[in-house]
Amino acid sequence: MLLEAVRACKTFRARRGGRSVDAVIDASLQVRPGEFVAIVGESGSGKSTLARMLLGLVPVTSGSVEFDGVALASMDRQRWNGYRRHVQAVLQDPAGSLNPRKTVATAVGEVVRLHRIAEGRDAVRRAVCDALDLVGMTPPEAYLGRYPHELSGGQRQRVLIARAIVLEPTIIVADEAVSALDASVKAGVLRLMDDLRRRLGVGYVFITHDLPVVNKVAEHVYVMKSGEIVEHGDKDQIFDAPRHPYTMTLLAAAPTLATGRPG
Amino acid sequence: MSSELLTGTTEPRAGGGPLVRVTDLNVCLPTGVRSEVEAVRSVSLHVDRGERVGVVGESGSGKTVTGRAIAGLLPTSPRVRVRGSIVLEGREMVGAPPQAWDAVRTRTVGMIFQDPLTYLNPVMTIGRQVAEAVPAGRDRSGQDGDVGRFLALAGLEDVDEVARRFPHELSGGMRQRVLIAVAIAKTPDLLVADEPTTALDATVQKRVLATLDETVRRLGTSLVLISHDIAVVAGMTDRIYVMYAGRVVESGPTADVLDAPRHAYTRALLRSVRSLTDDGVELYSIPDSLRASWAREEVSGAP
Repeated sequence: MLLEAVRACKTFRARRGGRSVDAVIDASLQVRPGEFVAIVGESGSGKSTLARMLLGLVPVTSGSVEFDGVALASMDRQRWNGYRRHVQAVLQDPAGSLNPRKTVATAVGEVVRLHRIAEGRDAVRRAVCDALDLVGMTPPEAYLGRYPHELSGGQRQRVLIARAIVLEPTIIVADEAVSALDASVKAGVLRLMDDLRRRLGVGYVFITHDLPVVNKVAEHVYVMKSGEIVEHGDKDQIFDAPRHPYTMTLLAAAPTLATGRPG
Repeated sequence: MSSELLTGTTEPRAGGGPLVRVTDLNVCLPTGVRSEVEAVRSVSLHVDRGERVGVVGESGSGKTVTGRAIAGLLPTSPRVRVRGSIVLEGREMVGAPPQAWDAVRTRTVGMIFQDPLTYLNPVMTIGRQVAEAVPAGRDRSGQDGDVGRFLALAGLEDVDEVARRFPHELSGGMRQRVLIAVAIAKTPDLLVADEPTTALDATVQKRVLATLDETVRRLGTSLVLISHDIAVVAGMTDRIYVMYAGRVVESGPTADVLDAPRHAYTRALLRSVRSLTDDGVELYSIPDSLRASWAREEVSGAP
């Protein structure tokens, strides 16, 4: 199993009169199950567009995104459905990704039915409960009937992760999945993701501008700037011996608990 | 407004006693037709002239409501109940007539919000929005020059060009600086900055914080910096208040609180923050059982 971008480019064509934007230029990236790959960069660097390309939500302009060696663009229906099940998304804003009028049971249950993970009311309910249990929402029965507004931010993010892992995906693309969370909740969600990686062998593409988090959990890091991957390598190499000047700037900007005034 | 702004002094403004003294403040906000929440409970804090104070806590801890109460920006619904005392420059503001707050909002307290796009008018140029913030009655004759000066103070370059632009034509970091410019245009005695850099990337955040630091130092303004990110507050403030569930659970000089936290919540918070930044430490999130026990013991009050 391998998800990769091969010299993928995305140009957003402008409407009449405007200039077109090269959001992603010649990006090559690989992720396998069980790996923790991070993409870092500032807003506007193209990292979210690259994530959406990996998820098949944005078609490539040139190059390709391939799953097990087959380009997304050339997949037949059956392969495409398989890909959609194996590669799942957890996006930044849990409130925006959950339908406010659906309960937790419905939100998670509908993907179970859609992908025919389980059939019949009891089996679906059991699958949903198992997934909620895995993400630490225990006892699951207490959360089934709740609506998104009755959950905290961390709990909503957990529901989204539950909805992704209930399909037993091999790779999860997480776009700023923990950026909006408080430190304690953030640590909790990260621990959960790492735990799932170890127990179920889930691989992650983790998109963020939060470098301390990357240093904590990632194995392999890609640094993006203005649509290009300017540097990539093992986490230790990127953090201990960054080669690209932009990576150095990024590393120097991370806030610390030091009580000195900013320079 | 004279050009002394740019040369500026680092001395705090004259006058004794705290600029703001909040005593035993309680704020109830409606959450539904019949339900309400006690967002702030018995909070006491003070800010001296020229002092920088941080307020940290996680979402729902009441830090934003406290900041808004000081700036007189709570919702005006009769169901919003405020008890306790907020003394601004020697004047009691709880129960004061709305006109008294008008004067405070136009002259004494400036506020910087997290999301500049919500607070900037999308169909008005930056220059006009800064000019509007200069209080009426102050000399507005040399206004164009003033606008440029405030924009420059807020760390923007090419100010004449920026003044002609609209908010959507600026980057996130520039918008946040514009908000700083709008807030200081009234040369307030106190700036309340609520999560001013939370929506920004690390590199931009660092620059905006440095700008805020520099601006406050030049103008001798007091600062209340509200953030869920204890690292942001650590580098910017002299004293710190830690809030949990609507209460101040710990306060003191920033360095002391970070080095030797006394309250269990502060310790747990710092442990989870450090677990995200330090090598070789297991990720730590505050267990629900601990939270439940703090909620039960009704937190033993502010020191």
